[in-house]
Amino acid sequence: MVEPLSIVQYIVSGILVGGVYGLMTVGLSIICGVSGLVNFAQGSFLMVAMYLSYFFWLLLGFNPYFNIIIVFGLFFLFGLVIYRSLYHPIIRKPRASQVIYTIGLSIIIQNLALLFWRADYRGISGYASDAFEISGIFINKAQLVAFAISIVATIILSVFLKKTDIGKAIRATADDRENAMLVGINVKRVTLIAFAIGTALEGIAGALTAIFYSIYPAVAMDFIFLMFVAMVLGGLGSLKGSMIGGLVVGLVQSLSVLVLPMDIRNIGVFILFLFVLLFKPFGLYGKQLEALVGEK
Amino acid sequence: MNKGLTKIQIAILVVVVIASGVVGYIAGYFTRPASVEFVNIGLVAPLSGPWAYQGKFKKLGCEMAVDDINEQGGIKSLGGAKLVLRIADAGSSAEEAAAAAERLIGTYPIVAGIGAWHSAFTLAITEVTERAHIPWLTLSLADAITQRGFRYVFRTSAKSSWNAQFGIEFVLNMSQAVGYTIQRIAIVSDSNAASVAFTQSCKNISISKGLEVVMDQVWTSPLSDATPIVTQIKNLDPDFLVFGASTFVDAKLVIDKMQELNYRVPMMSQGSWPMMPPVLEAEGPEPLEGWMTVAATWPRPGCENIVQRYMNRTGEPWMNQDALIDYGHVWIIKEALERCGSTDPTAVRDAIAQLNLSGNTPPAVCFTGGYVRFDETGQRPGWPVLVQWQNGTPVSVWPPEDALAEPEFVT
Repeated sequence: MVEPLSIVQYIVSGILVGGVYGLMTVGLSIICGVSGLVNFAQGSFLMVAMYLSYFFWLLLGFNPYFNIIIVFGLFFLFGLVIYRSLYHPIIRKPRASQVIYTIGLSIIIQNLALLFWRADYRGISGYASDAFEISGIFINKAQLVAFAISIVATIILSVFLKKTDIGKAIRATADDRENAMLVGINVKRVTLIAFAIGTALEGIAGALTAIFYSIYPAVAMDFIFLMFVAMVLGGLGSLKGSMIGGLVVGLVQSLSVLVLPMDIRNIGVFILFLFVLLFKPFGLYGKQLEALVGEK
Repeated sequence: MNKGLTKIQIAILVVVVIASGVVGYIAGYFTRPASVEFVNIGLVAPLSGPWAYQGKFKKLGCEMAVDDINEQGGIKSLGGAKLVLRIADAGSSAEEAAAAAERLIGTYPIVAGIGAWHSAFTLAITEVTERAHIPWLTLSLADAITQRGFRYVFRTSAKSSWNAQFGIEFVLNMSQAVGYTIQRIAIVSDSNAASVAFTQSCKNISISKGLEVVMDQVWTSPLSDATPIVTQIKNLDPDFLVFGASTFVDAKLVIDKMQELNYRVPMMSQGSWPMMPPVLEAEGPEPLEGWMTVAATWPRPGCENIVQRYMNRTGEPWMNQDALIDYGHVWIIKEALERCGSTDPTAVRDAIAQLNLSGNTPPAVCFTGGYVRFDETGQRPGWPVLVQWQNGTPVSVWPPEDALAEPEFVT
């Protein structure tokens, strides 16, 4: 019999981890929403961001929380460069080609990481286990900060998309690419900026995850499927949906051990995923995105 | 009656004596050890892919042994022939490892070899080396390696099924020695086959020894959050934890969560990976203090000089199982070559099978108990060693003859 206090502990941990899943998913979702690109290399971007933060901490002695700002900036530039060089040529290609292309890109990035950074497991020490206690419930400081930053980043992005001209252009492009072009929006530029924003958010998520998770070349595989589940669960293209999708995945993962053996706990996530798709095919907050419908 | 030899008898006698001398000289000429300049020994180890880190240590250990032996005059029974280490990358799959072994023995006249760390790799490459009649030394754990009736395979580590037996017995003996009581034991593990085999054996042995197994949980790796596992352990508060994580990713989450929940329990894992430098780098010394693992070997009394020279030449903070055991493996091949005085792999194999070495010099000093001999299956009868993190350094703590430090139960 699990004690009630333990259940509360599971819920707290699930929400905190879920918040980071949410931020990982927001980056993926904005790229998918605007460009229609299903970017399987997004997990590898996360891995690179984790390594960057780790090396800034190890070699330059930077505080890993400060690294979030640096990695955000670098990843915005990285997003601009990689979109222009590697993604732009495939943006109008058939969906199957895009999927195979991004999976291939992901494998290349992982193998380059293996080549340059070796297979060693690395980690940022001294932050992952700091916690404070409230009435017998332990709250991990690193995960709490990561959760808070994830929520704040999502809110800022949401305000940016609603209040700024470029944000409105991104939303318009995500809603209807051709009509956006007809009203004079430079959709190529908008897609480029949306891609860079999505990549930069992945950078923040990576820098946050590096504080409490192991860093190694194949770490993308630990998260990429959960990111896609959270994105589809929340609704393609919806920022709020992506964040809530991430939270739901974290919570279900944590609580499913109450009813399932630990070795099959992820089944809980996928069962929920199937039910949501069955009754809400476009996810909890999703709508049928023009960018994702049909071959272009 | 003629009492002396006739002239004919004397002539025959002289001819026989001279002929014997000539035949003896010719026979001696053709059977004397061939003058060899170099003796090739093989190493197949993962130098790329997920196990490249362990392969690196195997290479470092072998290279140091080859340099030591060559600096001391090489193989004296072969006229001072120098050892040459031929290395092949086992990659990341059994198929790659077998192909690497094929290439290695097809390219060089290998007299004996070492490898390949991962049991699946070793099972695959020893199929190749057995067909080629090349003696092969390994530390891989899978029981099957020495249970296939192969003549050319030799294992110096305790096999998998012995690790759990010795591990639990060592822990109980240790606890008695330091006055720590173990009655209730918790077992958690990832679903990796080797981890489950180890933890389930530990469970059966614990039950047979009258211990109460209060928890037996298996998770699928990778964990994303260790809260459910550690909360359960903390609530049950066992005296001892068998911790069957096989990757650092999961272990880090569990150890961090224990720290976070302000909880600690003496615990034991399997294999040398928990004692790798990156684990210390990622966690720092305090969270690791007291964590034990069952290893094939570890620096033991008499190894001080080897360890110091290894640290000086490699810059590594300590010598681990993989480097030390392969250092010993090269010395085993050296001793066999000295005894057989031949580069014929079958002669080397027979010499390895007949070795009976002990004492404070390599190779014997590199292995638990301080001896080298093999049974008819090629298995070295012996035991593993318990290694424990103490003040940021992994040290051997049990059994006493292999220990360099006193064990501690950190709660």
